[in-house]
Amino acid sequence: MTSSADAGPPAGRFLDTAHGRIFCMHWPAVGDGAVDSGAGSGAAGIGAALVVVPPFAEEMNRCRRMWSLLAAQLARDGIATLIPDLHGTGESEGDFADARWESWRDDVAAACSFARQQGARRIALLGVRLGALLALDWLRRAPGNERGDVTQLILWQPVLDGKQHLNQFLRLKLAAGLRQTAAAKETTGTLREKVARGERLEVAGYELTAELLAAVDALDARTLAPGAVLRVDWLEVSTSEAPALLPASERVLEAWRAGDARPEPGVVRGEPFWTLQEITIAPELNTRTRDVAAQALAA
Amino acid sequence: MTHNGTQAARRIQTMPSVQDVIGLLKDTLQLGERAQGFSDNTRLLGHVPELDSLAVVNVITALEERFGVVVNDDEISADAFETVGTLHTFVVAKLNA
Repeated sequence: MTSSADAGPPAGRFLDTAHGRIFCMHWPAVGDGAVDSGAGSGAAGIGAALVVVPPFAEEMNRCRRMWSLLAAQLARDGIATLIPDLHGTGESEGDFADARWESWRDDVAAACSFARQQGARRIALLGVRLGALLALDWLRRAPGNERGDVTQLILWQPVLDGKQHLNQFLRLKLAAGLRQTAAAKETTGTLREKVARGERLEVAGYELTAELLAAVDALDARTLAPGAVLRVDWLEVSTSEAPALLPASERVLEAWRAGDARPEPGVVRGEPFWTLQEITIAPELNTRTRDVAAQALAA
Repeated sequence: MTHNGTQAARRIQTMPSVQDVIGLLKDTLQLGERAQGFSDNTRLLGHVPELDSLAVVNVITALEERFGVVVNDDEISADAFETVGTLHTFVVAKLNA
């Protein structure tokens, strides 16, 4: 008999938002499956949920395996997991060209709201790469009743600078011209000018609009410090023999600590799975995430 | 030109070695055991099959994130990707700039 010890099953739901329906994968906590027939029975996990805030473009697809594994582990710890596809991505409504930073913030709110409906009283956000900045930006703007039960923010290899992140993305378009002469070369600058003029720009299958580009360009992790009430676990992976935070991350953390934020950094051994063509996992990152989530949510 | 001691210390601490660059290539291109045979004379572009144009972009991104440099578009050229040694020289020059 394994039915009572099995996690899940995960189920996809569509959530209504002002800009259309978004798809959200829901992994209930063990014993949590029958919310409708008695959430208060004590079997509904520990009343806590982790809401994933996904990264940009192709990185989202490369992270899916990691989230699924994490969600299955958390379910056994009594923690539900919600994985929304942001507007214009994945199974959600809209094309990528319809995606706006503002609507993505609404999507985070919608996923948290759904978590509450499912019985969560404490929520951890897991911001992955650009999703880290999205989670931070949402937290700064959300009204108290929407973020009051968000007790933890876990960040996976946060993007530190929106403009640099988009430069790296735009370079996918430039890669083919690597051997061209300097004069004929397009640059991220010329690509940005095209988009600003209203020209259509598709990079690796994603149409980048002037609106989204401007919003992401303006993001800077140093100016998005979380408040003091939140537990913040900043997690990175490293393949080094002596794993250490990236130097640029240390500088952001220094800036945050100059305010009232008290982030807790951690580095584990693992491969940079969000960049790799072959689906790769970093098991130690999931283990650490599970540990810190259990510490913060099992209250 | 050193502006203060802290900055100098940070630079020394973060200046990558040839082995660091090989490690980055190993991770980014998923070279596995093959990276053990790499040295600064190992030829890259046109010789390492994994290093296609998209992989070059991923390597540049990894250089930026791991070593904290910012690479401008006009600095990206095939020359830097000639060998492990030229790539290492490129990174060190960026950090010293």
